[in-house]
Amino acid sequence: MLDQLLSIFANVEFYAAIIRMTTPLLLAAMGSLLAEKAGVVTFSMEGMMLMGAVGGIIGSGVTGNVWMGVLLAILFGISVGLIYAIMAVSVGAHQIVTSVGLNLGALGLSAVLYPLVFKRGEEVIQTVIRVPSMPLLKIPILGDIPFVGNVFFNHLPPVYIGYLLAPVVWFILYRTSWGLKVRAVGEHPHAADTVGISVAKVRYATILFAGACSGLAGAFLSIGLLGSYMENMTAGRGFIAYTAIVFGKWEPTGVLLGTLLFGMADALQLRIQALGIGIPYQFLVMFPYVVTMIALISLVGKASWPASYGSPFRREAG
Amino acid sequence: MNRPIRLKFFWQEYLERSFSLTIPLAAILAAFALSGLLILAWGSSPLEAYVALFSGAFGSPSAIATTLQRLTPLVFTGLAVTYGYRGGFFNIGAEGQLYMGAIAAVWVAITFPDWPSWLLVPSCILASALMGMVWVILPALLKARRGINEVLSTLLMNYIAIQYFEWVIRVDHAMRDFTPPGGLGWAFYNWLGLKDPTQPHPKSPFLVEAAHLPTLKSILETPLLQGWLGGSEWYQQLLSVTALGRISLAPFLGLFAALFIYFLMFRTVTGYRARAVGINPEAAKFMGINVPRTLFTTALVSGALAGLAGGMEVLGTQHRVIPNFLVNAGFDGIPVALIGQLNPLAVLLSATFFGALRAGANKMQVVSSVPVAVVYVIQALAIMFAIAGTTIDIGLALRKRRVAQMRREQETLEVESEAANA
Amino acid sequence: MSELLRLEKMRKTFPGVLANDDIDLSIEQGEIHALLGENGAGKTTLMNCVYGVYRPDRGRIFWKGKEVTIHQARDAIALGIGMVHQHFMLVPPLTVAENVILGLPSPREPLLDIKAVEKEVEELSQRYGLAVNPSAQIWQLPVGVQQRVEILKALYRKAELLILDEPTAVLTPIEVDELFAVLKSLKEKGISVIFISHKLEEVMKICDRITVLRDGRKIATLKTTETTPRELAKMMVGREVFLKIDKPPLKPGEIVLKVEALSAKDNRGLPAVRNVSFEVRRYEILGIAGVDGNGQAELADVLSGMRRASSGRVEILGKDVTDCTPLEIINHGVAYIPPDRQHTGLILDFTVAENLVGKSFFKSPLSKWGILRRESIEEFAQQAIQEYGIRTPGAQVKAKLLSGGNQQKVVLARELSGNPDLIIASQPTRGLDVGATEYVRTKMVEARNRGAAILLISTELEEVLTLSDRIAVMYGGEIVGIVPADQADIHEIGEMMAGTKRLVDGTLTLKIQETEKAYESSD
Repeated sequence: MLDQLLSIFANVEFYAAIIRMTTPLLLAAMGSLLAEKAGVVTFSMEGMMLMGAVGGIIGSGVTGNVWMGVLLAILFGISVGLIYAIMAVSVGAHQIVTSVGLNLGALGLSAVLYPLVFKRGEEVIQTVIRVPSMPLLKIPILGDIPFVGNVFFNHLPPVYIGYLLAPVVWFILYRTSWGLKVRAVGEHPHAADTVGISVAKVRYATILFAGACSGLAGAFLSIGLLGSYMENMTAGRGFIAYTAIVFGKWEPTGVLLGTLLFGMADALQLRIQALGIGIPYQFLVMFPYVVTMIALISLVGKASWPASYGSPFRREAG
Repeated sequence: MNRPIRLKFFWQEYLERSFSLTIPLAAILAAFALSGLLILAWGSSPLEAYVALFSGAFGSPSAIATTLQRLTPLVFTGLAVTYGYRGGFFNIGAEGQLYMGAIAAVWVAITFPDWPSWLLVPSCILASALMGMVWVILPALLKARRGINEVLSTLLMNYIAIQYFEWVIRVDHAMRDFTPPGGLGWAFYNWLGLKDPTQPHPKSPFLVEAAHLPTLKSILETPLLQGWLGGSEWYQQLLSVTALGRISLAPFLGLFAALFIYFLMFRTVTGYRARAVGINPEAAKFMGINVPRTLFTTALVSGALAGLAGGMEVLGTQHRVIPNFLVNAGFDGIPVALIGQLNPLAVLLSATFFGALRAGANKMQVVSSVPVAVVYVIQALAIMFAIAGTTIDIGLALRKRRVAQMRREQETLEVESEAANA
Repeated sequence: MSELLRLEKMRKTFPGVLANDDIDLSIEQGEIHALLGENGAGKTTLMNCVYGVYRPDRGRIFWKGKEVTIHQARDAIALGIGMVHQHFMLVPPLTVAENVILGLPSPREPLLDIKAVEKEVEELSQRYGLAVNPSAQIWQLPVGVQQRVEILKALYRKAELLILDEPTAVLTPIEVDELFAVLKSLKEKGISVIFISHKLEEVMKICDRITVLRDGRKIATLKTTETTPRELAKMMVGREVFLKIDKPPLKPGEIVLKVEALSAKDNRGLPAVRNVSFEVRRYEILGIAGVDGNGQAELADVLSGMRRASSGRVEILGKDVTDCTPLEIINHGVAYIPPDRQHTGLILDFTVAENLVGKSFFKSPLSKWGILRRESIEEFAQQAIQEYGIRTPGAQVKAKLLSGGNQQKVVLARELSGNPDLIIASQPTRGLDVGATEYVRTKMVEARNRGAAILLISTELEEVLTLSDRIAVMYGGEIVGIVPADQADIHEIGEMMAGTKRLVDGTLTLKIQETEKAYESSD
């Protein structure tokens, strides 16, 4: 059993798989971090991802061009984001309840849209439809480095976007005046308002960005890894991404680590499951949640989430 | 002399605590209308689909039985969210508490298979409630003692519970016959494995008959009722309705639970404290209410209800646990509670709406080839419209109130200034 | 000196309140101008109109001689007006420099060149003598420094007029001195300051001219050199009509509340109550006068069990209740009328009946075996509604639908229902109209006549003077004097409130002698 385990760790493919498993989580979590920092609960990532997944399949299948699929996935993600922004920012509805509704709606809509487009009849729905999917992109030179090249630089294109997203989000947050606005809106929307910042505008923009990134994450699953569609194919990855944000205490580096932890647990449990050796892989899946719980407990005192987290902003009536 | 007061008081109280059905109903109608467009796009007739949906949910005894089965866990999780929310503890961990409750019920049933039904069934129910409580203790303590956001902690507890569940039903259950420890050790060993070893797939063993909740059929067939009513014709007719064998006591216990929670919330000292803390913990503290303790109690009640949702499903409907045996029933409790206006009695109605949609969806698919998933869209739209409607409605009501108060105070001011002038 | 800002006939009404009644005001360049008045006189409202937070109903604003319209804070900032609110508008986890630049284009837009901003802030702070560390996070800074950041924020936006709303309310005496030094340096640089305050002594010390507001009207604008605190006090407080309350003289009975050398800290952990000792007896009202923020709120919190004492002892009817829970203190026969009925006094989403039983719902006959008895509750509520004349459509109406006065009546009914031995009333008439105020006061006197001991905490001197049998004055967390009401001299009390005079120097014996003397003379 031990050598079987060791064989997993000895295989380059395992490390490449960690990167693959991490990517959808990273795209969604990092993309949503800005909205989270602006004080919005992005519990609706699951729905955004799911719509992105089906959007990718539709775009790619109908046009025959995978990049149109990516585009449509992003548009679908943004659409869910727009609905969420209207509800959470303009209407001021309860964000978690709205998210639960949106996720349910995305589950239903994606399962209807797919057979609707690739009509018809039940047999067709049952058979797997293959659509053009993303090509591997081997980075020249870097991709040829032994081991490292295969682990990091021989992947689907969104993986590299994921690599970039973490530093980019960090840079936006801490090195641009727009990022300063985002942080101020999340921490003290009223103060931001008095210096002329539009709280609504900042929150809309960040939520739409979260939608775009989550949509891309969905496309990575459907027209990236799998090349076909399954009902509810995100299987809770949106919630995992959300948990990674909690784990990372709302900081880009922490979120990056969080997604890696969940990605690693996922890659490892898949392999252990495939080997059929008697290691309870469920505890592997559980492990990151337990760690996150401990992180949450240790948060006390130094509140990590933005002060206005989850509450809509209304100017006081004069 | 007491009687007229009681009547008047009850009526007034009903008006104050009654739920406005307007917004949820309008939201549901709008959801059906909008989803009709989707069905049209699919190429089917929305009307035909909805008729099929309705008849699949209520059109026959068997349909009603299915609807009742589907709505029961939602009643319990809806109540769990309702009571927690009203008491300032937003429990989104009903999903995990539900799974743990189901495991506890199965555990009792396979650990004490020799117990008589009258003892075993209540024990299973109690175990599921207790286990639901256990699963909420940590988030409850963290919230009450250290103010840690319960939304995050209960969410995390969900995944821990689900993974534990996934594991425990894949490990062979140690049949009593060949397990050495025996006694208590054996009992606890069952927490480490619930899978039926004779099955290739991860499933728990079927629970012994004595652990099943009685069905309407079995109640009718008790010797007492048989001897009493056996001669009458309608009794024989009733017995021939096979669907009665699928209607367990669980939905009726759900009804009872809703009434009980309503009573607990509005008619008891505990409920008074819970609501006070839920609305305004600061003012509650000034009134002398122990806020942390009240929060803790509220969370336990909420957890127990969620645990019962799992227990009822196991004891009343499925009689075993399998992977994904009740997916999302915990999360769905949130919209059920919110569409039910956070009122235990209205939760019954909104759980019925959710349950009926799920029950009727298959027939809709068969009759008009509309995919089952359309009902998720209907539910989601209903949720969105209902929340938006309620949020906007509260905003409007506030504005109206402010204007009214302004007018009232302006009047008194004028009266006073007149008096001063005179 | 030229005129910087002129207001003409500014009027602003709120529902039921005429907050500003045709106020004229003129601010010159480089002067420190005080807006002096009691709480609710309309000072802050007027300045919020200038800063664009509120829209005045009518009135004209002239800036450097030209008429301007100000719709929002941004317009005011663009003109060169800066305002430091009583509650700071700073983002706690951000640094000083980040707060200063927030909402403005950074020197290297869109990049946030925080180093450059820090340098600018550094220069600015040196120029005006506002020492701050630009890279420190706001939450780490003491309140006084946070205030400096607010001032820097305004200066960075090139403010020529700085409005400070009760700037000393949150400061320690040393911080006040530092602030005054800053204000003087601003003045030298030609920046005008509007200083909103109700503290005479501070206004006299720092301001060039003083405008006194009372009840939304402007009383006068005076040069500081040509007036006296006495004159100002008269303008500020001098109401012609005192509400008359019939109060028969009664001989005080046994000691109900005894406070010995009590000290407590405020929310920031700074000492707020310092070594306070007093007692309240049956048949007497002890009024605590003082300017807001001198430890009265914290004292009330400690006495009601909402806050822990850092040292000292509280006794009720001879029993030690120091650091008991609120419920234990209630069970000792204490009623507490909290200062903010909307947030702490009532649960607005509860019905009137539910609020009325707020402190007795768990006792017989209102409940039995943990179950609320609706008939008893309804009966109790109806009785209270009648007895206290609460104007409500019914007992089952939500409390938030009642007017302020009726809400306070609900609080009174709840608190006074069990015939408590001790009543702590904190700002019991704040924000109430004349009729409701009179009602509340009458009820308090009735409770006293029945034999309750009453501790009245009020920042309205007139209220303390009207109701109390004895008056204690709190300043800086200490009781600086206790005098019998019939011997009270309003000016002497005013001076004690301002901290310029004290009758006791903090030792227990002296104060007790004082009290004894008070009783002898009241016989």
